[in-house]
Amino acid sequence: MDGDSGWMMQHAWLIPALPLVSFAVVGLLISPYWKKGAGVIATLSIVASMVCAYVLAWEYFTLYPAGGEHPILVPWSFEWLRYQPGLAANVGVLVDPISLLLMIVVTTVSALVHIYSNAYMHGDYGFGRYFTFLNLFTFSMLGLVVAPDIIQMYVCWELVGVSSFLLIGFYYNKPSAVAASKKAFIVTRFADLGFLVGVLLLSFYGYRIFPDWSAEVGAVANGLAGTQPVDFQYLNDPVFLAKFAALDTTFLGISLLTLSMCLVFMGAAGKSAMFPLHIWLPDAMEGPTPVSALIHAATMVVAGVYLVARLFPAFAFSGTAALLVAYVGAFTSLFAAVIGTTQDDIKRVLAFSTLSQLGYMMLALGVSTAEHTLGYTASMFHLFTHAFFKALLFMGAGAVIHAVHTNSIWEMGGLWRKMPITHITFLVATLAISGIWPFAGFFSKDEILAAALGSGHYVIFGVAVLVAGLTAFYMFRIYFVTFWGKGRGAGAAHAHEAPALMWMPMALLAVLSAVTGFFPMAEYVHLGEAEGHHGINLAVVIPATLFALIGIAMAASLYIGDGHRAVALAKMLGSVHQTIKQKFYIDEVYLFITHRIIFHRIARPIAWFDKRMVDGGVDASGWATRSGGRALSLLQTGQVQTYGLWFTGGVAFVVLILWSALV
Amino acid sequence: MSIIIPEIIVLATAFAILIADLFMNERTRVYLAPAAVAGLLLALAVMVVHTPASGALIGGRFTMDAAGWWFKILFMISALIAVLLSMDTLDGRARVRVRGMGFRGEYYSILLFSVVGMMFLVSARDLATLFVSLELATLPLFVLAAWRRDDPKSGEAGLKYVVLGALASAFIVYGFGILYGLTQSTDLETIAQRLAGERAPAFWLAAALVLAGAGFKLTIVPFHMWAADVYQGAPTPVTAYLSVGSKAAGLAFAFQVFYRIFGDALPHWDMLIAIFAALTMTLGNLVAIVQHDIKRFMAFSAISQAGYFLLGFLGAAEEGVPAMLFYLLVYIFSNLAVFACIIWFENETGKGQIEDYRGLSLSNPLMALGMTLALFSLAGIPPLSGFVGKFFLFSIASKAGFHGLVAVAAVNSTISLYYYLRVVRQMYIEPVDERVPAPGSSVSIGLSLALLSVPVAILGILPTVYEGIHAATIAWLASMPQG
Amino acid sequence: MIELLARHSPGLPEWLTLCVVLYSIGLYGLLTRRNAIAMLMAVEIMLNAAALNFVVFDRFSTNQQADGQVMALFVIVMAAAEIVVGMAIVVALYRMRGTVDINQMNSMRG
Repeated sequence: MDGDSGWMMQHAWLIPALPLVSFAVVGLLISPYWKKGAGVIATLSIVASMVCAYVLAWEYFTLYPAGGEHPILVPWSFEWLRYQPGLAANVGVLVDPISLLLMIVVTTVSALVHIYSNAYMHGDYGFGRYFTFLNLFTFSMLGLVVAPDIIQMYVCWELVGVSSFLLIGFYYNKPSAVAASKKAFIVTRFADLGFLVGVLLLSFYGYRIFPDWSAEVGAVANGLAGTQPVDFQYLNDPVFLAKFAALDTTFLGISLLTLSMCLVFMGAAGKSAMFPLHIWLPDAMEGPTPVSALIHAATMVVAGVYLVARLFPAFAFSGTAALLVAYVGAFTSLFAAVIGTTQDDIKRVLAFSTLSQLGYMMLALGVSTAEHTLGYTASMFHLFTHAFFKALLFMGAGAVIHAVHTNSIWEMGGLWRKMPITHITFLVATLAISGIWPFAGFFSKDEILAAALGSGHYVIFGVAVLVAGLTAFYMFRIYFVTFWGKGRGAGAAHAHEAPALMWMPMALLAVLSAVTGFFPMAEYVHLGEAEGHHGINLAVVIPATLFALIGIAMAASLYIGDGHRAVALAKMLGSVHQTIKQKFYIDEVYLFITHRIIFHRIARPIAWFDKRMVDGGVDASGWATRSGGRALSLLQTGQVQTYGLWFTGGVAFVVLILWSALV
Repeated sequence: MSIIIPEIIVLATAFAILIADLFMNERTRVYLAPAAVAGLLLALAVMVVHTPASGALIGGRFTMDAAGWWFKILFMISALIAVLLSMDTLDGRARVRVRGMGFRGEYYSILLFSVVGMMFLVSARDLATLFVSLELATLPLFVLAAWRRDDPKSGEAGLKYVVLGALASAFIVYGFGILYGLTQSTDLETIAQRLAGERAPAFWLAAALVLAGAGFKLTIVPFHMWAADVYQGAPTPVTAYLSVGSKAAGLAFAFQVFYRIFGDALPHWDMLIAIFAALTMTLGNLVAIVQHDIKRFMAFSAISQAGYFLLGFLGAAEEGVPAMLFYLLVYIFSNLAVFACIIWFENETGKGQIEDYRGLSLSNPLMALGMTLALFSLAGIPPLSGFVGKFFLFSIASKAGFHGLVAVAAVNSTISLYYYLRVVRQMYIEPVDERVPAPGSSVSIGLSLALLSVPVAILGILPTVYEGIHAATIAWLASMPQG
Repeated sequence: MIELLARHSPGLPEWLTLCVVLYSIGLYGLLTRRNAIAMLMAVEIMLNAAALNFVVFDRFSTNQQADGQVMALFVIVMAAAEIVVGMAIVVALYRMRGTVDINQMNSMRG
């Protein structure tokens, strides 16, 4: 790095290092002795990391002002493992607009969730353990975000998966939590298998093409001498991609580039819970609610989106892989929104809403191409705003659950009077996710729709508009049922406002959810020439807002009031009610597919096989190892003459081997 | 002349301690250990600051090179830590007194003699100096193993060690005799030149005899049998020193033998080395699983680690030598860290079964943390230094085409993780044993553990040390006679 | 008389055979004797056979540098040192256990 780059730029490693140090210190030294201190230290480290991230962003955009060129910098890195000359895994920090964006989102939401958790988890068994894991997660996520090469990305990717597993199963004496954590881990691990194969393919061919590439682009002369075949800058290089795509080798008629990108997308789909790998996310709500806010709404689940964005030039070059991303994203978005309208558990509705919004981000990435990059900006923009309002929704849900001790929306109701702050912030977030002007979601969703329309994907555009309506419907459904009407459950009667440590982060997020839409994202995050904020595109705004308003109106007509009015309304609107019932039917299909077919037809035999064959095999190998050890230990007789005999025998053996080798 | 100064300092310290001991009383003898530490520190400082990385004395019979420089540093560090770890036991500061550990002056001077022997070993360029320095390095260890005169186990360990050690010496010296007969020279360089292309049966008989001797020091299966009994029976601080010093000397001797005498034939011995590597790690690991005594457990762990070292002989020397040296460094730090905890625990409680360590994380979290870190490093868990060291060794074997061997090594790493975790499990998961009083702390052992833990944790992340070793060995190989 | 002896004096093969025989006797003794002192004696025989080996090669070598004889001296010294250490340990053990039977020294095994 040149000397004029700022201090933070040269010390960018601090951002992931602070949570790591805090993880080690809190986990090993503090949490067994000083429970309260664990929370305080963990929170302070994340706040410090957040400040560092802001300073880093400020330095970067001072160096390269908004609207101009935004180069990818690797201000700090070192070689960690070298397999052979020219193939090494570096550990480092990569700074560019999207990594800065993610750093800011992750540290901000994580800091707020840490503060919130100090109150939410108060008095919980395993308070120290909770913060240890939360720090581990934040470190892994930041390590993933700043990864300059695909190896570091993969390692942190797995670490993120582990911390997610640990946190979902945080209440380990609750069987459903244990099952959910296992499910999440296994499903994402299965997806990661694809990712791993993709990584191996990329690095193998990347390594083979590397000499040609560096000769053609004059790597040494252009200051790229330190580039490794696994670096993102190399993998996204058009010269490399052209060479890779031109390879004769194909697999089932698919070019290797497309194949490796599809495999990488499989990993991304697992982590971002795209259909059909989404089944773990709703169950992951078994974890503590702040964890759902941080990991399963704002940060970890967007890792897949980030991965696709990070390798966007490669996806765009492949074309086919980008289309796969677009259609999987669009389908997931619709599918999850439909299911979201039928759920009774407030956290599950939010989980399906997360799925749906992640689908939005994916489809935005998928519809953009190397020439038409609006979707790339839009996706990152939506990631940014979504992180805030979805974290806020989860925190609000957490505050409500904390107050009424149930997850079912039918046992809540009338909470607006008892929890005014929670109510206001939840309303802001609901308006934001529904895409109502001037809240944040309006702008980012608008940009995604514009990208879909502008790129000529009319089907996807239609789906996206429909999903906007559905989103407004199911979000206002839970809003009305939870906060309006009369209290239905015993808990709702005794509800009280959340403590200050909880509502203050929520208030802050509410402000962010309200105003971040005005942030000129396109000035900062763009590929190639900065496309100006496209302004209000009426062809997009009118249908989107219309659908959103219809959704709100339908929710209002169905769910305002107490149970009596809802039943009367249902009778009055018989056919409409039936149509909604049809959507319940899709939910049943979903349950049928997962439970009847996957669990009974596939999982049971596999479980049987696992129990009888795999576990048996593992037990047998463990037994064999121990018996082997016991048998071999008998050779150690304690008799010195036996030892001497072995020694002499060994010499004879060496003589024999040398004789056969040298003669 | 300056290349021999560190040896002279250590030797002078040894004699000074031996003589000073005669004029001291029980109270003032506590200063003997600091004196030994001071001597070693001075020698280390001279070594680091002043000693050139090459040079020759006595007509080329004592030489200095870059790899030897690293070896000598490692020997002195091992001895330094060993002295620090012995202090509490010998000065009677242990809460549970170890009886029959007196004679501090003799103890430290004998320890230092052994270090001098090891240091001469890497500088030897002649069969006579090689043999004498090897014996000088080994004989004191026999004595130290049998140090507790009223403990039958210690005596038994010493007797087994001396009988088998003498047997190994007899094999080595007979092999040397044949080499001398074949080449009519005792100069290593001349021997290597005259042996080039030699295929006579006498040659491989000699090679087998010498390799067996090297295998004895390195604890290669089936020459490893002594290690378990000696490690278990010897006083624990001595075991700590044995496990690292003796192994380092064995590796230094193997370097002398492989690269100076048999450099020409080494590429043909790949299969032999691979078989021994596989046997050593597998047997060491399997038997370690069923151990209960922590010292015996560490003996089998050390045996399996020796198998990993052998992988470094498979590839090109430019990669193998730095990888082995680096792993030796990592192994010394990690193993000594584990032994620091074992010695401390034995001093405080008088116990040495793996099951006795239960609940240690609650009664002394720092010690438990240090031990866990070191065990994880030995098991090769990233990003600790042990992982990086193993990674280099494994990649050498895989590049040399021994994919099956790498698979065996990987399986063995997994097995080793299982038994290292057994100890960690006792410390962190099992409840505290209420009958045992809470252990106290110790300055010298705590200091050693702190000094050792830092490199265990960071050597794998900071590439500087490995690069230093790499550069040193490239220089060393360039200076080697091309056979 | 001297000529006759010179003509019939043993050559290199005979001497080497003697070395191997001595060495093997030592090895056999080490592996079979139960008395620790006898084992140490057997080791001593092995080391001396090795020393003899050096002397023999030196005697029949063409260069007259006496390297082999020097080696033999070192080997003898080292053998003595080893036996001293070994004997000291045996004596200490005898005081503790009242026996020097190596078969009873197997308290550590497995």
